[in-house]
Amino acid sequence: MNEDSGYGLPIVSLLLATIIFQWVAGGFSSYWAPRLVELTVLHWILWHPERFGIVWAFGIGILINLLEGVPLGSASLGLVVAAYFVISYRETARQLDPVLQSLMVFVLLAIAAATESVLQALAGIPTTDLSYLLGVGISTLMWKPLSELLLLLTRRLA
Amino acid sequence: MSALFSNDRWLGAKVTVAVLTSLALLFVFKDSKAIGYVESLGPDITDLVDLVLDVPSAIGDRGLQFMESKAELRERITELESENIVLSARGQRLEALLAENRRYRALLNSSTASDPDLTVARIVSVSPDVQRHLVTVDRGDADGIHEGDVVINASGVMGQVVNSGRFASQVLLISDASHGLPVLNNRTGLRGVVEGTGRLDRLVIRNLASTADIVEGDLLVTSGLGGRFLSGYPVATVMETEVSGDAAYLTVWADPLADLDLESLVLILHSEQDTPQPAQVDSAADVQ
Repeated sequence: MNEDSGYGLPIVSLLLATIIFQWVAGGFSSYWAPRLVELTVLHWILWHPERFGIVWAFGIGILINLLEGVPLGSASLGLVVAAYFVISYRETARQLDPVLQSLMVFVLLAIAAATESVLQALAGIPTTDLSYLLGVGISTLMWKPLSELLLLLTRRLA
Repeated sequence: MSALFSNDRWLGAKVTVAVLTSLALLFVFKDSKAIGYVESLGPDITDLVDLVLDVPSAIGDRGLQFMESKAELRERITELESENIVLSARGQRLEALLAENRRYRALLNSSTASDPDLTVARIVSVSPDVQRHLVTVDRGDADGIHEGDVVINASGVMGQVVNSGRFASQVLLISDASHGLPVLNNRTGLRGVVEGTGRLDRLVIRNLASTADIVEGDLLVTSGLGGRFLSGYPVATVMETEVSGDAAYLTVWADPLADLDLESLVLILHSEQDTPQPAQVDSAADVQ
């Protein structure tokens, strides 16, 4: 499954994910918007850990913070923790059936979102509720289709 | 596979460095100039993404304009001209009232507030973070917009600029849970600080004396305390009041006058000498 497609497809997919995320979350509903950027980066870390790892997770976290207008570092830390688990258990994660793999993604995204929320609270931005979990739930449903699409494109472009 | 093993060997170290860097960014270098510069890229990136997203609708608009007949255009111009005349007349009336107000202030020997410059801006996006009531507008440093500039619309106060990029800025709405704004009751002159609740339709004033004279329907306007918001701009109307269990304190719930989730055009109040002043950061008018 580790066909080499270079950095072209991952970077294009991350740019598209950023644009669609900003379009949906910034234009329609922040509550229901799937965390597309996090999903995309987790996919590349799961299937290409030799090229996409902790540094990418950190950098994408900074990008998310810039888009959200919140203190830098709050999204990075959660995403780094999620990336660590994906890299550590990638062989097991790849073998999981779609439901269990989506459940794993839900847990990882929830950890990332909760960490971001707690860090923001510590940095002086109060959190009001757990509504961010709605977006995490929608993201879980989108994990498998998105991952399969990216795998298909990787194979085609390899 | 050797690449995978070599990555694993450094994984712990990489995670430790990334976590420590994140924490340092959040709590140690939060107020440094370099971080401020990086953060100021945020509005510009958002604006750039919005420009990309606007391409299809811009092409559509061009197509529609091309197909619009000359008669329709002429009709539209006539309509706008009439509207312009009405607005000009209202502006003249306002000028007369301002002049009259200045004369009264002079008679009372009170200081006159200087008129701020106005810049019209368009909201281009809303923060994807559900906890933040933050919008991006398409005006930045290049247009003279700075941190702390006040943002209003036709109905009332909307918020303040908290991060200005080169071509776009981020505006924190008054409904954000971290926002506080000094107000006074327009009927009685009672002062208070109205805080955001994280809901677009609800603001709150906490811990007023239970005997305070404030009733449903009262208009809350900016008091000017804190030095950031000019006085006299309408903010909200009182929806309900609630006395605490021991009858010592009063909590006031208010409805913001500005449609915070509907408006797309806003006015930014600023002046040339309007630069961010660190001394004001602790005042009640600022972000907590």
